[in-house]
Amino acid sequence: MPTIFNMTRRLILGVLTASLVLSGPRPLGAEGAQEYQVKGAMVYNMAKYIEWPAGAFASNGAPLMICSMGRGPFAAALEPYRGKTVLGHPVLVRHLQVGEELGECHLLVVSGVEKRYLAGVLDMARRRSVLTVGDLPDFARQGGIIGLVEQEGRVRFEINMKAAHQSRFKISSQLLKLARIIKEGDS
Amino acid sequence: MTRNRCRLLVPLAGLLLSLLCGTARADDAAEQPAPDLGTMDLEQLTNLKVEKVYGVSKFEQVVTEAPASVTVVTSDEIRHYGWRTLADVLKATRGFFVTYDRNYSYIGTRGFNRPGDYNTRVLLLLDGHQINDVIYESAAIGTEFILDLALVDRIEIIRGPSSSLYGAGAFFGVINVISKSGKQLDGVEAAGSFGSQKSGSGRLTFGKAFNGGEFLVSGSRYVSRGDDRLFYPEFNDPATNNGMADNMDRDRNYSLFASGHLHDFTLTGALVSRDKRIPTASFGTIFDDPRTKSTDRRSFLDLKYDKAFEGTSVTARLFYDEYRFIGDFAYERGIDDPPFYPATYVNRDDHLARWWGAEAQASRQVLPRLQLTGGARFRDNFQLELPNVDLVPGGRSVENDHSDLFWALFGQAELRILDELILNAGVRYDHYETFGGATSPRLALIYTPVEGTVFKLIYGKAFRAPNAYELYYNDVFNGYATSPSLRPETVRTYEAIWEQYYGDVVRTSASLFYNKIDNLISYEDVSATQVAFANMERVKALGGEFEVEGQWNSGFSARASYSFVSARNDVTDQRLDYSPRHLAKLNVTAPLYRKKLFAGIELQGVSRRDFTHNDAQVAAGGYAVANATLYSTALLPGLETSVSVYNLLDRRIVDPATTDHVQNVIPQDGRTYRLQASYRF
Repeated sequence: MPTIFNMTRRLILGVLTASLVLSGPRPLGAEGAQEYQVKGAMVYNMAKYIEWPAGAFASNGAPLMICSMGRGPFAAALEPYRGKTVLGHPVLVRHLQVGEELGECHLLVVSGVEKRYLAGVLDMARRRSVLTVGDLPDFARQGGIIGLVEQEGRVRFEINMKAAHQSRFKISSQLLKLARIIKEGDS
Repeated sequence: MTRNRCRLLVPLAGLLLSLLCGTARADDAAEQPAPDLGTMDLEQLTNLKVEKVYGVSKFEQVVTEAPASVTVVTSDEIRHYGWRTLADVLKATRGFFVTYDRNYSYIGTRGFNRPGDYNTRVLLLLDGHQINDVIYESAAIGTEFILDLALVDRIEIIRGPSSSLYGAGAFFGVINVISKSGKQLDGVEAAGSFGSQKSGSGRLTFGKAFNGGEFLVSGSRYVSRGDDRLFYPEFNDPATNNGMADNMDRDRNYSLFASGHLHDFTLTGALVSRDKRIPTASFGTIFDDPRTKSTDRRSFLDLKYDKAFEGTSVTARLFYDEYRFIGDFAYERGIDDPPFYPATYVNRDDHLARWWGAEAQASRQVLPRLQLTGGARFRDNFQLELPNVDLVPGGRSVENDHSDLFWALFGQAELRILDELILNAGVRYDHYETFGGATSPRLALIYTPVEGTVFKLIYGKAFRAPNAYELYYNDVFNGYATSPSLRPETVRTYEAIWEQYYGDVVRTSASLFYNKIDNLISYEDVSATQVAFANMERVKALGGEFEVEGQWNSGFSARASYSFVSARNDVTDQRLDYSPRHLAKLNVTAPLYRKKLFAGIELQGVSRRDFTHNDAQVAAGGYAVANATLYSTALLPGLETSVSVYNLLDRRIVDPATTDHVQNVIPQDGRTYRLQASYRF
């Protein structure tokens, strides 16, 4: 048997070496933009089409706090928009752990969070009138406000109108016409 | 012999490496600057074709914060490696191996494998519904599995005892198979395959999403003649066809699956029927007699309610299940048989189980740092029939009817002590009519000092209730002494896991475990003609597993793992039977052309398995096997084709046989191939 395992060891070493060569920082693939860069740009862009409830911002020039929660690359994809402005509000970006208070967040991006936490997170966001955006499967159906879903290799919106109304958001018709409207309990 | 094996495999390693380098170069050449996304408007963004990041969708599953070591297998992997059954999937999974006796496939994990025990110590779920039946508790992973593998969206393999959430059966782990949804399919798909051993299959699937719901229906058929000239030297005698089992390996099945969801309700129905001839003449049956075969028919209906409201998520289920097993065994009339019997006759196990039940589970974040989950389960095994009859007019028969009730309560708390530290504590109480109650606790600490590094410390206790077969089975020969006072088996596990993520591309996982199993249920000879099941063995196993896995944007992915186990039978102080010390696996997928043509190559090594067979110490030799698949979507839009070669180098592989066989070892298939195509309309 030792010979076989020598052979296996050699193979594993070979693949490890090759993996190391490949695993260095790699620029974007060529065929299309990367999924999370597009999703990050969408979050930044859509904030322009949302009217937050009265009192959400202390003043016209108060910062817009975009928070992210969960594992994965969504948090990093929001970083390029730190310091840019949305309708006069400078953008701040923060990463939260599951279970952490939402504090000053205006918009919460939920991605890479285990499903069983979702109900609790959405409940907390609803009570604080935080706009929730997520790319978990059926995010809008589960009570999130804006879901990002993949359709034929493109990222599309699903909007849960009931959840938006409950948190007193107004969503502009320009955004609505790009989206699929979801009722809770729909597929 | 071993040298020769090595020489053949080295060029294969070279091929793998050149594939690796080839894909790296192709990518470098194709790199272009990304468009400036920040300046695009929403409409432009929604029209942008995006490239899926391979690693993330997989890694961000339940894996990191689960109180266990978890492997997620995706439908892409199933296609790229040409896996035909769950057994194929497990063979490629870290720390697992599979034994096949040309009737059923037996799961080996953590050094523990008992050919002939029908996988009672692993819980198999389809969309959360328990597939293990209530007579043998078998986790069917071969062609008798209830779902066509083409309908699998992903498989979560959760290692270690999980009785605290799932109850009995989750002794060594849980395999949860998640089916595709109608929305994912959205249309009609037709598929077919053919391959060696005159194997062929066909499938027709229809899936659709509509306002408020979706549904999927599918039917599959599989026929294989098997290895129709199997040779067993143990039967090399003119009276037994010189050891040739002619056309005795036939394997046929059909399966139906339907699942629909409307608002918060999901209704699933599934059925599989498989019949398999048994070529090995096990249980002292007549060699080369086509009447000896087994038929397994498993079906269920499951209605699930899933809803989140006011911070609480609720899942409830109502289910009805059936399992029928018909085992036909051809015997020659012996001196103890009634004199009016014909020269040969068939003895039949005609077993039927019907059960229904319900379960409910709720999960709520009660405090910002505390998540509570609780639930209850109830099952009524209202029909358990295990008769054994001789198919001879006026022949012997044994009636064997039972029924029992079962209920369980469970709870789990997850406390985030610090941002980096989670305490997960669960306990479950199961109550059986047969032996009473069993309590299963689990404690886990999950520590994430920095993003990308996860340490888990786990203690768990699990049990396995004696099943109806072990408690009640007997046959017309009175070969079994029934053992109604069997107690449950228990396992205590201590495990330490370190998972490290390098960006979203590479992950390594290392774990150490120690298992202590008590009251293991085994056969015991009570007289020259009778065996009985008894709680008689103790096992201790110490082992470690290491895995490295990478997934790149180019579509290239690779996974290599090594596992070591030292398992001892505490009663005899010998190494545990059927337990290989070393397992090594390598899986590589390389995109050959634009993510439309993939090569999937796998290597599996299993070290020698020693065991006692009819009072002799024997062994099944270690082996290394390679499989290769070419998978393409490049020919026509909607058309997927693949060609697979299994046991590429045509190695001779044998698996251990139980003492129910005359043979020590059962030879496995040599080189075989399969061509497959599916078309989506």
